[in-house]
Parts: sequence; structure tokens; C-alpha cells
Amino acid sequence: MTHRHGPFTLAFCLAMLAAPAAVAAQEARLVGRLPDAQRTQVDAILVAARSAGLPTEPLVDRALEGAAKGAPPDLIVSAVLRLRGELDLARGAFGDTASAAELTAGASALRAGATPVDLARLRQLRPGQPLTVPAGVLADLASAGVPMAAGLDAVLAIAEDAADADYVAFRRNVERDIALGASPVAAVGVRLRAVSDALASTGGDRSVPRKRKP
Amino acid sequence: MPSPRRVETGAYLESGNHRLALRVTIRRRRAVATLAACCSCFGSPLDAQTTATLDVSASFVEYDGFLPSGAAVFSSALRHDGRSVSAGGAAGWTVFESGNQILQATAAAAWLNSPRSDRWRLELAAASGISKYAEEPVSGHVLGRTRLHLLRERTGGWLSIATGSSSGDSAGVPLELSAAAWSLQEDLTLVGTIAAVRLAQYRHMDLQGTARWTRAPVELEIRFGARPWTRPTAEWSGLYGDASLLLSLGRRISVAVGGGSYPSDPIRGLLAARYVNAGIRVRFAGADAGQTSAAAATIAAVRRLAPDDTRRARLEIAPSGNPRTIRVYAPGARTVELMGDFTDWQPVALMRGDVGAWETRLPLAAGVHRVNVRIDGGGWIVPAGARPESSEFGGQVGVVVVR
Repeated sequence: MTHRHGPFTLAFCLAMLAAPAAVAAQEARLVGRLPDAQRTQVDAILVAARSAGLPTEPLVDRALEGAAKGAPPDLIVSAVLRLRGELDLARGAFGDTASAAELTAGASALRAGATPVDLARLRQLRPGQPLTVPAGVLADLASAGVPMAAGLDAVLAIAEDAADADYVAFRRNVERDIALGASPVAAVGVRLRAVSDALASTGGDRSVPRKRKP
Repeated sequence: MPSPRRVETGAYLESGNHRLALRVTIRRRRAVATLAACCSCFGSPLDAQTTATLDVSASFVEYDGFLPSGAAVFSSALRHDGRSVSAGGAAGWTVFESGNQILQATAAAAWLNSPRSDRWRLELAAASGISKYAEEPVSGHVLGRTRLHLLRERTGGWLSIATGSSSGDSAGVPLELSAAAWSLQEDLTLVGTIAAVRLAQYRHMDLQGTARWTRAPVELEIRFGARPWTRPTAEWSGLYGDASLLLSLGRRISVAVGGGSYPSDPIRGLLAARYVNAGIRVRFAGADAGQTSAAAATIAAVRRLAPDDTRRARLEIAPSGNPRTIRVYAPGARTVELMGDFTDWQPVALMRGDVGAWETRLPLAAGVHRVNVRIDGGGWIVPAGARPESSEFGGQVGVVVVR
């Protein structure tokens, strides 16, 4: 009997030990928003992401977005899984210390057409500085019709000196020019020269304090 | 200008930045006049779109030197507005009490250059039109126009020169010089113009103000002006003004009513008249039925020049504070809702604020956020101020970066 009960008892004990962790891994906000089967799958993705050191909040948000928009549950699961992969790639490019906001912005840039190598170059040019806004602007430019190569060149060209406010102003001006009829490439070129000149004339010393290379 | 034995009348329309001319030639003094003014057809100049409309209206008009008359007007228009190029065409059929008919067709196109600076833009436009009234010969015109626009955030102005030729009675090479200033508010657009016109021996100067007020489902346009000077002095001069109201009854049907007076336009063959009209507009394509008045021509030109974010629901997030104030500018909206990752994708109703603004206060951390907005219970859209991104779940989602 002892021989027969040994494995069962061991499995039971392991299950009991794991149960609280599984319960804790359930995302309460998904209860009632997703069918149980798909919610379990999403919970599993969350557990895996958490164990990999990835932020789970964007994943939960994506599942909630799909539920709010009435998407098929399986599509929601695949969207969450895709985002999890993008966050992982962004983390690989930005480094382990990247914040959740940076990783989300990086994932958005990846989806817009940037590559992990592009993001890594951005990280390299802005050591110690937040990357959320530059990565977001990169995605914004692509969405506005700027070819990824041109947008990336512009974002990287001012990466060392530009503050977040410079990036925001740059994006706003480019989008405005495009809205007024300029070609995306011409708009980004004109505005890049303008912001580069401004940064050069001020030595990059903008209203937002900027860290410099040693 | 019209002689006692031969007069011209008609109406014009502008589509986006370009002006089309609907020209009617009437030889007989007993011929009743047209109500072609109500043929004007405008769509709200949203981002690139195609607009197609059909109008059926009843009119009562009294032209200078003519008896008042009723008319039935059937017209259709097709227009495409892109970011740099607009093109359109229109056709109309007018049946008067006398049984006389007018067939008209117009076409026009305009091109706006890519901006070389924040402030200045160049516009080139061409328009042509032909008309056939009763047994009279076909008349037509071709006009070309150049405008230099000065743009600021919500104000601007232009200098314009137009010339061309006419194959009708007032044949010659016309010249029209004009200048304008405009202001674009959330639900109100104001335009002031001054224009000088020369055609053969004819001269005149006009001062004109135009206002458009929009609050769904109503659009109201008012135009008023003065012609203080004409040559020869026997030609019409004085004050004029008209108003039109467009009431939307749904996605495709609108009711249009209008009335007032307008001055003669020798270049486009327009005779001074007083009128009232009422009709139905059916929209087959496009986001907005648009106004029906002549004043809409000027308004449409202005609104198309404005940056995109001045023409549709616009999202603004306060740069600091926690919770942050989130505003959606949606003039004319009855309800505005917002949902995003910061609401756990649960719809949140916004409260009506000032001048077309709807707002709420929500905790919002720095970072990238996804958001959609719903106006008047319609579909979930991406407001201006948010980057549209294709959503795996269908449609688009707005992405904003909060610092």
C-alpha cells in the first residue's frame, strides 16, 4: 500500500502546494469578461510572462480590450500571446532594466515595423534615458506614413541630444506638415533639420534636464 | 451685365477649395429664374473622402427685372477631397413654372502645394461649366485661380487672383482679385472677404462676411455683404444676405431650407435675386451631407485648409496631475464616451464642458495607452490626437504616449 500510495500522495501534495499559486495567478479583472477556457489560457500566459520578468499589465489590458470589443475569445488569446512575444523582443533590445512603459512603447514600435536591432540602437544612443517617448514617436511616424527607414533615421539622429519634449514637438510638426499636404519623407526631412539646428544652437540644453555621456 | 434683351443668371458652387460655376442663360424677360443656388453641394471636408449627393428641392425666386417664379430643381454632385488634390463634378436639371428647363454640368479641380513652411501655401484651381437653357445656344466658361494662403493654428487668410474666359453673352476675359481672413473655432467658422471684379466694361467691389455654426444635427450658415461700388453706376449695388439651415434626419437624409438675397456675379453669370427654398438631400457616400448655401463655398474652402485635428473629435490629455483631465473636443455631440486600458476597457461617459469640450478625470500613468472614443452612441473611433493603429480585434485603436 505504501508503495502504491507514494506517488499519489506526492502528486496530491504538489497539487496542493501549486493550487494557491494558481489561484493567485488568476487575473480577477478577466473574470466574467472571458469564457473560462480562454481565461485559463490567458492566465497561463500571464504566469509565464511574470516568471520571465515581463510586465503583465499590458497583457491584461489587451485581453480586456478584446473582450470590450466583442472579439472572439480565441482571437483574444492569440493577441495576448503576440503581445507577450513583442514585449519579450523589446526587453531584449532595451535591456532588463526597461520599464513596463518602455517595453510597451517598444512593442508598439515593433508592430509598426521597427526591428529589435533598431530598438537596441536607440537604447545605445540614449543610455540611462527613458525610451518611451522616442519609441512611441517612431511608431507614430510610421503610422503617419513615414517610411520606417526615414523615421528611424530621424529618431536616431537626435537621440543623443533630444529631450522627450523635443520628440513630441518633432512628431507634432511632422504630422501637421503631412496633414497640410507635405509628403511624409519631405516633412520628416524638413523637421529633422529644424530640430537638429535647434539642438545644435542650444547645445541640446532643453527645458527637460538631460543626461550626458561621461 | 444682363441687357434688357439678354440676361444671365445662375449659381455657383465651391467644392473644397475650388469653385464650380453653374451658369444659366436666359434670353426672354418672361422666363422665370432659376433656383440653382440650392444646387450647391458641399460635404464636410474631413480627411480624404468621396462625397456623393442627390438633391431635390422646390424654390421660389425673384430675380432683378423678373417676375417671381417657382422651380423644381434636381441636382447631383460627386466630389473627392484628398490631402493635396480635390476634384468634383455636378449636374443639374431645373424645371420652371413656364416649362422651360435648364441642363447644367460643371467640373473643377484644385491642387494645394506641399508646405514649404508653417505659414504659406499655394493653391491652383481650375473650373469649367456649361449650361443649356430652352432653345438657347450652349454657354460655358473656364476659370483658373491662384491663391496664396497664410495659415496659423486656427486663423488664416488668402490673396487670390482668378481669370479665364466666357463663351456666353458676357464674353471676355474676367479678372477677380480678392483677399480674405478667417477664424476657425470649435463649432463656429468666420470668414471675411473683400473682392474686386472686372469684366469688359463692368467693375464692382464686394465686402462679405460668412459664418457657419454647427451643432449636430443642425448646420446653420449665414452670409451678409455689401456692394458699395459698381461701374457702370446703373448696375446693382447695395446690401445682401442669406441664410441656410441643414437638418440631418439620419445618416443619409437631410432637410435643407434657406432664403435671402445675393448679388450678381458677372463672371459666373449670376444675377442678383431673392429666394426661398426647401428640399431633401440624399447622401450616397461621404461622412457629411454638407450645407446647401452659397456661403458654404467659402466655409468649405477654409475648413479644408485647417489641420485635420480641428475637424473631428480631438483628444487632449492634461500634461500633468493625477488624476489627469482628459478632454475630447466634439462640437455638436450629444454624448461622448471613452474607453481604454486606463478604464479597463469599460466605457466612461464624459461630462459636457466648455465650447465643444467633453471631459473626465482619471488616473493615468506615464507611458503608452490605447484608447477609443464613441460619439452619440456610434462606433468606436480613434480621435485626432491619438495615433490610429490597426487592432487585432477589428477597426482601429488610438495610441497615445503620456509623458
